[in-house]
Amino acid sequence: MIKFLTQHQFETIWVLAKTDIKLRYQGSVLGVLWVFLKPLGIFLVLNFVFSTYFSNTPNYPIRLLTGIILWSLFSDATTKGMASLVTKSHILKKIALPKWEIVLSAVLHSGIVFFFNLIILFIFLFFFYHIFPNPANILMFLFFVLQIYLISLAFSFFTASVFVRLRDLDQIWELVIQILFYATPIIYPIEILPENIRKFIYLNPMTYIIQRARSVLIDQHIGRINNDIIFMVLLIVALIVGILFLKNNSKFLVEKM
Amino acid sequence: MKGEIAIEVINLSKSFRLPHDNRYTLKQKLLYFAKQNSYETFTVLNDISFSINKGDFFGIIGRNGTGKSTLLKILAGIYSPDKGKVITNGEISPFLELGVGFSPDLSGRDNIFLNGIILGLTKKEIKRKFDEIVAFSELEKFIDQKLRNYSSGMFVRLAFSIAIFANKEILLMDEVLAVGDIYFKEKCLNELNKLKQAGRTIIFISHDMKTIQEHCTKAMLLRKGKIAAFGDPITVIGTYTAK
Repeated sequence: MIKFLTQHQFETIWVLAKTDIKLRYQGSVLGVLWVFLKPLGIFLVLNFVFSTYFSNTPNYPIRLLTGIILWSLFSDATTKGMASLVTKSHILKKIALPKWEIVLSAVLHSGIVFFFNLIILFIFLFFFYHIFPNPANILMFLFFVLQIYLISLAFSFFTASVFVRLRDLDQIWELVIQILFYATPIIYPIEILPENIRKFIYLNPMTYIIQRARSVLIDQHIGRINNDIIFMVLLIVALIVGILFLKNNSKFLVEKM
Repeated sequence: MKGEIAIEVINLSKSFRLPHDNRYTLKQKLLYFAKQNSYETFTVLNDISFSINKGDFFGIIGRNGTGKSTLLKILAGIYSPDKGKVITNGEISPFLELGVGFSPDLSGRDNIFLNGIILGLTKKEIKRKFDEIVAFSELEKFIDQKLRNYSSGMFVRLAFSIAIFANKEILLMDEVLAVGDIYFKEKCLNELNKLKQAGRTIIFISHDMKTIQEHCTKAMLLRKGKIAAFGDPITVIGTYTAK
């Protein structure tokens, strides 16, 4: 990321990500439509169950949908990114490709899927809720999307090489991500939690990002951005350390696959 | 061009740890935490040094498990050596296996782009060479078919055609001509000879002594991780078959 991307590196990452998308829905009747149907389905179920319960919360359904879509970026990108080196081991065993390219392409793949999901979000926003955020708010929202993307990328840089050695990691992460989903105010507004628990919920960076993203997009409230910038700086540091960790860890990695 | 060194290998050693039981899962790791993981060290390459000149058609022979493929993987940068070093002068095209990254669910066309990119071509170069690649593979009729419908022969043809057009200065090939009919094999060897004439270096593992004898300018015999013979192919093959 920080390094200068050559034309060929860029193309490798892009073609691998594109191939993953093509193959993901290969052979299914509805094909790429599943990109839309999956988060939509989750949304409809959760909305059906919880919307009456949280009817006091203004714009509850659109808050829920935003949360789900942002969360699915995080969960998909981290899961795919972590498994990326193992999934592509058949290539890595035969050709010396830089490991970070593989990780980046897997996370990019989730990013592309996310952008399709955004279309649903904006359709809901414009046509059902008649909320038209001004460009600055949308830009700010995309800034938070970028933060989720970078968190997932940093996470993947750290875990991808560890997963080669410790194959339990995907099972563990599947469970942890379930717990985190409920520990993030997605289906419930954070206000329902008692003050002393809220502090702990805010330890989860996803809480902070999703809260901020919803507030700029739906409440049209930009607020103070000091913390956002500090957070971004921390993320970039994590990314650099992540790349170095991967690099440091990848010398004898292929033999372990 | 001749006489210039393409690859120099200096005191290269590589060994693998063969654990007596692999502990991949957390449970196994926890259960046997205290017990030292027992393993034996298997030395695949033992302190070998040699150099290959530019424009050489270099054959590597030897019995199974003597380190031929490991050597090529180290040259390709896939494995890291334990000791010693490899100095390469020129870009490497590793064809340790044909059709790396090929996906049966994609069309021949998509696979050409995927494999080409992985082999180090840019999109532009692939577009420019696309018709030639397809023509060489003689698969014009099937290029938009999914790869799963290809026969194994067709698969190799397509893969080899990409490889031949993805050539960089040094080509590494591991037993890649073993499949495919004799006519296609002949065509491939002709193509490799043309590349050699153009100053490319080809390093080639094969169990087919006839090919080695006819095409290689130099050969090397590996035996138990050591170089048992080096130089003129006929002499090297002689040493190999004498035993």
